[in-house]
Amino acid sequence: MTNKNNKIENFKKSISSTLKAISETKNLNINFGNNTDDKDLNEITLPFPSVQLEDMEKNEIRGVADSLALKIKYHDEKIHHSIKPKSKSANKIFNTIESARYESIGIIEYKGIKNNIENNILKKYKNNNLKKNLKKEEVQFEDAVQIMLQENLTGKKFHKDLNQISNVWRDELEPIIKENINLLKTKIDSQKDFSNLSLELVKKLQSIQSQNELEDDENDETDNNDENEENFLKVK
Amino acid sequence: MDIQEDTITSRNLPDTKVSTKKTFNLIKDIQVPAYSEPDQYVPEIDPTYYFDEETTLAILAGFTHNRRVLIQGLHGTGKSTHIEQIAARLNWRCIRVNLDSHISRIDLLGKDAITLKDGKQITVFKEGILPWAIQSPTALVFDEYDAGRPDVMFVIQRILESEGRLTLLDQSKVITPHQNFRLFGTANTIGLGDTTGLYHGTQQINQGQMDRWNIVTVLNYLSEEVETKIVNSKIQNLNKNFLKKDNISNMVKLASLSRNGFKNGDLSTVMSPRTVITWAENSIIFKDIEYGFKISFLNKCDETERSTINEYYQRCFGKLLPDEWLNTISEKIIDNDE
Repeated sequence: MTNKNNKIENFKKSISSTLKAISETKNLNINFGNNTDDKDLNEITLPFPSVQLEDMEKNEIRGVADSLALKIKYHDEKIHHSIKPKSKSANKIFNTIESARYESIGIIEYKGIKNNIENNILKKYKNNNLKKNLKKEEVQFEDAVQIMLQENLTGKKFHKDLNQISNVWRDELEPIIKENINLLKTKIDSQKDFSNLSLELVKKLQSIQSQNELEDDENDETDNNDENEENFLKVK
Repeated sequence: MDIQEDTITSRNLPDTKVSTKKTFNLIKDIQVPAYSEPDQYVPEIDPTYYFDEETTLAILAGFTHNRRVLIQGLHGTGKSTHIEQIAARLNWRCIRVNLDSHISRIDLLGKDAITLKDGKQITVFKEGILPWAIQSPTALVFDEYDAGRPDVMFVIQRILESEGRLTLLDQSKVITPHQNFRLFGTANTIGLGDTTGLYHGTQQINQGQMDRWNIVTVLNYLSEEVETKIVNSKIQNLNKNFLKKDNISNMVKLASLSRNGFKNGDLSTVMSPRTVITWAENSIIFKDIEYGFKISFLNKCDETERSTINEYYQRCFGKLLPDEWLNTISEKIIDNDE
């Protein structure tokens, strides 16, 4: 085995062991591959490390592994399923709030987990220039919700690039999150209570999201009308 | 003072009672017999010692009701110290004997020794620690009970029964135990052999002997919160504000991850509370937590497991250890070949 292969194997072994140690679960089947959408939490697939395996890539894999470890330790799928809202868009926000909860517990407890989890959102915006102000259409609404919730739940300062991402939605999200955060904070260790409380927040966040989508559509329509008028004039 | 010259007559029965709630900070409040004054065989009190409820109650049952108590637990969990600290607070004499493989029958029972009397060399039988202890109000603790030699174990077997009288064949003498003699044992394994590979030198314990222990209790690791408090109190004198409470808490978290790793079969070295205290002390001495970790724990670990420990370290302290601390010799050779 070459030295590079050796290092990759070593890294895979260490990450698997850390995931099991954090989640306090022995019987996990951890694989490395491209399809990382795991439905069953006992069968986990982490991103396959490339031959180069640079520090950045290692940090990204750590982030995915830590998030999964915290999910296994602090999340109960049955409780989640019994409380989740029916609509698809509300459900998406509900899932985001729940992952913000269990990840926050790990962030509060472990200094290093915070750094690793930050990479999970940062890697999605690798191709964006985070030095400039981003536009709303460049940022996923759920990402902004997750960053701001975690900031408030943990009381920790996050990477400045994450602020750039959440700043896009900050003015609209901050008042609503601040209004609900104190109660949510006290229930962070109880998934059931936290999820029940978060349903109200889901509704408010959903209305912000749909309002923005509506405005976007209107803008699109106005743009289209202008274009049509121009075309009409040109034809004339 | 020579232990043999001690007179036993001055000290006899417990003359007071102490409350378990006040003295040991237990939830259950029971009055247990104690001596009002210490003597030279009573251990010193460690005011910072934390008493585990279940273990303390088991040991106190041993003192109060003359039960033979065996404590099993992983290394560094404070099994023997637990007994010592209880004895210290009861002002009960406590003597520890380490049953390593060099302790023999004659060390325990006694032997003929040449002494000078009236200018002449004569052979006199000198009693060992066992006949002395058994005739006095002493708590005798056999440490590493599972590492004792079989011939020694059969000597102990005789006194494991509460009324067990000891026959000294060399002397044609039968010794009846003092009514306040107590016997305790500590072991890393439960007498069925070592299944972990951690405890080389331990052996299976004869089931006839295991059967004679009235109470077997297990003392393993404490909660992170309690362990942090203990480490903090142990290093108070040495620590001049170098280690903050957060640092100590992170050290305990790392120890906890290493114990999970050990349980999962990923690590073969486990970080005991004693190692955490040593790490904290070394960090203060060298003014460097990372280096303290290297010399207190990392260097004891198998080289193939160091990258796993590095990952644990990153989670707890937010940074990785220097690469050169982890590199194995074999990797270095391959590097040279390339």
